[in-house]
Amino acid sequence: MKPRTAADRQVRSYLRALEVHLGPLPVHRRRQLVADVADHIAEARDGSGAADDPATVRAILERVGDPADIAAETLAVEPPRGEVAGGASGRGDAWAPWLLLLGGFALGIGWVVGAVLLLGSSAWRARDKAIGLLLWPFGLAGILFLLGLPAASTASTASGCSSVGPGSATACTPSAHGAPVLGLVVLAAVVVVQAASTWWLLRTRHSARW
Amino acid sequence: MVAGDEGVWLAQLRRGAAEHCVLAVLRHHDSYGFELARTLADAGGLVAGEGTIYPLLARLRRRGLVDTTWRESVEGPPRKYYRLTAAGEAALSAFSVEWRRFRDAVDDVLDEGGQQ
Repeated sequence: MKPRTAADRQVRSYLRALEVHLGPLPVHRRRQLVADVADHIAEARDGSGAADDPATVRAILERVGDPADIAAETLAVEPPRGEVAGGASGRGDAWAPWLLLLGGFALGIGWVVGAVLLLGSSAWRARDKAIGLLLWPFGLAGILFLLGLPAASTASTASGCSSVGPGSATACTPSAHGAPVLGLVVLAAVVVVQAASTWWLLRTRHSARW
Repeated sequence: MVAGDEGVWLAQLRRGAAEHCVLAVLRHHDSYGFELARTLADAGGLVAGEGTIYPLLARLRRRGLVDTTWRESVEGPPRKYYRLTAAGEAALSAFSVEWRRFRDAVDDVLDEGGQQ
């Protein structure tokens, strides 16, 4: 909604300050909170009968409170509960997304280490941990191993020629010419999904320390 | 008495009590953010500012103590209504017992101190 009156501008600048204070939060949580407070202010203005009066709006914003206080309440460290039981989020778990992506190349051990870090960390929700582990197991190494080899071998058999019968010209059976291309397309798609999974972990990492 | 320390304990106490007060309101009837904020602010000193109800509600929801639904409203845009879950009911009951015990204990000690 474009701010049209001085009162609208007051509200917009208040919400901007709130957004700045909520900077450390993951994007979706921050947006949700700012939206909730914006709705609250709108409701207060509607109920006041003087929605565009700067003095009224100033009083409303004072009742809503200092953006710093709202941010402090949001960022208050909570004792570990439920799915986020145990495991302080220290610097170590920042490596988890990268280990999951590339650690598989170290005989799979790097990925396992990343998985352990991820599972023990309180910086991600269960849902996000599941995404990070299932897409894909052993990361790029796993993908290349499971899909890259068959794709490569399909390519070699399709180009292989078999000699048929004595004396006759060797006949090349161009069987399944499309297979290697299809295999590579699937491989590329899966790699993209893996990249998206890593990006998701990086984006949703929640730091609880201030 | 150091002013800073005084503020900290009250903030902590407020946070714990305010959450359960919200649950207590929801035990009676479903409600939405604006109404809950006003109720708690009017009760006196339970929230630092009406806006702080929103992170509090988000926290209750993440912990599965409340649920939300959108309801159409005659006056304007749809509103997000909060409702107590079974887990929320259990948490509220446990809090009621603990709170009364705690409140009585503190009162007793404060009164004893006064008599001596």
